Amino acid sequence: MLPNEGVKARALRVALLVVAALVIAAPAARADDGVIIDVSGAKRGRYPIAVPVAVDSDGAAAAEVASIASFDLGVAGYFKVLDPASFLADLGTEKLGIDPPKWKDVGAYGVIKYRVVTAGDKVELEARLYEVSKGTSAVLTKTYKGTKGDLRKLTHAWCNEVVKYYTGEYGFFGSRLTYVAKKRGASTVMVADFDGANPYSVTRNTSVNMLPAWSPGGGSIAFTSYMRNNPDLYVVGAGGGRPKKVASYKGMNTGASWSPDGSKLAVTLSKDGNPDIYVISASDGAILTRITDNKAIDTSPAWSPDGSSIAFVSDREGGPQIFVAPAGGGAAKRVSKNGSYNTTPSWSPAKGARVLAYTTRDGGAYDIVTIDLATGTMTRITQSAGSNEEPSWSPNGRAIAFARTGGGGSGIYIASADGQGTAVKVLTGSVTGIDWGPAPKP
Amino acid sequence: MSLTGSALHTYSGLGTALVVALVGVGTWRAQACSAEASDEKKKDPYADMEVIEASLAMKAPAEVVQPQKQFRQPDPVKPEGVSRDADAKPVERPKDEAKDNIDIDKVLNKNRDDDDDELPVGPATMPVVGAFDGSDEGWGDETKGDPFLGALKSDLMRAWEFPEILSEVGTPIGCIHIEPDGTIPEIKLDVASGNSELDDSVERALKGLKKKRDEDPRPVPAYLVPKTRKWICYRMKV
Repeated sequence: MLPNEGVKARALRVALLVVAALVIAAPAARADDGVIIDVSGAKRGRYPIAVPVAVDSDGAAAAEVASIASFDLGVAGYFKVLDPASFLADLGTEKLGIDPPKWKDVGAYGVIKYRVVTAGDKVELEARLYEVSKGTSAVLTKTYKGTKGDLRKLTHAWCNEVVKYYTGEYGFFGSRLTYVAKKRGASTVMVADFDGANPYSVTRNTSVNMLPAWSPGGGSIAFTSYMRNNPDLYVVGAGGGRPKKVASYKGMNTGASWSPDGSKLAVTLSKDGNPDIYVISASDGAILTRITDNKAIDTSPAWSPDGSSIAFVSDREGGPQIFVAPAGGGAAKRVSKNGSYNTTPSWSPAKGARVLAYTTRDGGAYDIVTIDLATGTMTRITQSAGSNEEPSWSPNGRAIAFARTGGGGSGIYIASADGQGTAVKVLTGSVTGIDWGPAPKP
Repeated sequence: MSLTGSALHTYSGLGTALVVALVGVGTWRAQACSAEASDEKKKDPYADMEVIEASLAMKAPAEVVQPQKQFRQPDPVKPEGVSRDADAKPVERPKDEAKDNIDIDKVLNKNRDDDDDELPVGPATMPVVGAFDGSDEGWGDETKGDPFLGALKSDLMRAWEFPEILSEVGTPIGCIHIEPDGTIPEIKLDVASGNSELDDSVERALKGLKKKRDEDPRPVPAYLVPKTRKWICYRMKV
C-alpha cells in the first residue's frame, strides 16, 4: 500500500464515522429541540368537497350541473358538500383551475370544476376533480357529450367517476326506484330516477297494484295486481308494456323477491289457506321449494344478495318479527330482537355484508333500523321524523330509500346507511312498496 | 114511631140495668182468672216465657274483621347449657377436629368455577397516585400528564379531522411554538408522512389550534416556560 493510499483510506474511515455519528445523533438533536407528544384518533368524517357553479358556461346548464352534482355527492354517503356562500376563491380568474390555499381556507379537500358548452341541442360537459393537497393539477378529468336532455345523465356519470376515484367503486347515481303511487283509489307501479326525476307509470290498469320488485339486471319488475280480482303475480318490462302473469295460485301471490341469478322468485302464497313462503320459477311460477310450513303468517320474503338465505316476516312468536331461513329450505332463525313489531326486511347489497334493514315500530310511529347479522349491531336510520317504512338499499349499500308519512311531508326519502346526516326527500306523494334498482352500467 | 115519656124512662132503666149486669159479670170473671193465674205464677214464674236454647240467645253477631293469621303459640324454648341441677356439669360438645384442619384452598378449589379466573377483578397492581406514569396529576386519558399540555393537546385533537375515505397510512409530525402569553406565533409540519392528504390535515389542525389559542390565549405556567421556549411537537397517528 502506498503512503498516500493509507492516508486516503484513513480519511475515508474518519469521514464515514463522522457521517454515522451525525445520523445517530440526529434524532437525539430533535428530541433536545423540545417536547414530542404522541397523539392519535383524528375525527373521521366525510370528505369536504366544493362544487362551485361554473362561470364560463351556459348559465342555466351550469347551474343544473352544480345542483345535480351537489345532490349526488351529498347523498352518496362519503362527502360533505360545502356551502357555496363560504367560497373565497375568485371563480372568474380560476375558470377550470383552482387556487389551492383559497380552497384550503374554506375547509375543502376536494374541488369539482367543470365547463358546459351548448350548441343547439348538443351539450358538452368537461369536468375536473382537484385534491387541494395535491396542488393545481386535476386528479381526474372527463368530457361527456350528448343532447341537452342528457345533461342530468351526464352529470350522474361524472359523479359516479368521482366516487370511483375515491372508493374504487361506482356510485349509485343514475339508478332507479320502483314504487307504488296511490291516487284516486288506484295504485300504480311507477319508476323514477333515484333522485325522483323522470317518473313514469309501468302499469296502466286502474286496479290495485302493489309490491314491485326489480329483477337483478333491472330489465323487469315483478308485482302483485288485483286486475283479475285475485292478488296474482305478474312480471312487466321496466319500460312498461303488457304484464305477464307468473303465478295465480288460489289466494295470495305476493311479495316477490328475485334470486340473484333472476331465475327464481321468493313469494308469499296462501293457496293452502295460510300464508307461507315459497320459491317459484320466475318464468312459469312452478313451485320449486316450500320455505315455511306452519300455522303462523309468513310474508315479505327478501332474497339475500349471496343467494344463500331468505329473510321474511313471521308472527310465529306473537307479533311480527324478522326471520332468516336457508334459501334451499330449513329451519328459520329469528334475527330481529327489538320491540314487538318488525316488518319489511331488505338485504344490504354491499359486498360481504350480512346486514338487514327493516321497519320497526317505535312508540306510535315506525322507523327504519339496520342490523348486522354477524355482530348484532343495530343502527337507527330514522328517528323522530314522521313514520318511516319499507326500506330499500342503494345498489352499493351506502344509502337507504324509504317511504315517509308526516314529518316533512309524505314521499320517498334517502338516508345514509351509516345513520349519519339527515334524510333527503326525493319524491313527494303517497307512495308504498319502494324497491331500489341495480346500479347503472358505466 | 114516637115514644112517650114513660116509655123512654122504661127503656132507659132497662138499658142501664143491662150495662151494669154486663160490667159486673166481666169484672167478676176477670178477678176469677187473675186469681187462677196468680196461683200458677206461684208455681213457675217463667211459665209464660218462650223457651229457646240459651247458647243461641247469648251469641253476639260476629264483627267484620280482616282475615287474621292464625298464630300458634310458640314452642317453649328449652334453655341450653343451663341445668336446673346446680350440681350437674355442663354438657360438653364433641370437638369437630376436621374443622380445625380445613384446607381453605382445597375448599375454594373444589367450589371454584373455572370461569372465575377469567373475570376481571381489578388491576393487578394499583397505580401509585401521581407517580406511576411520571405525572403529578392523574392517569385517566383525559387527565394524565400536565394539565396545560393536556388542554393544548385536546384543542389540537378537536381541530384535527381526516376524511374517512382517505388512506390513513403515515405518521407526520407537526410542531408549534407557544409564547409565555399563550399565543402561537409559529407552526410547522416538521416531518411529512408522504401522504399528502394526511400531511394537509395535520397542517389544518395546527392552523386551527393556532387560531383558537391566538383568539383565546392561556398563559403558559411558569414551570413550563423553559420547556416551551423550544418547539412542542406532535407525532400524529390517525
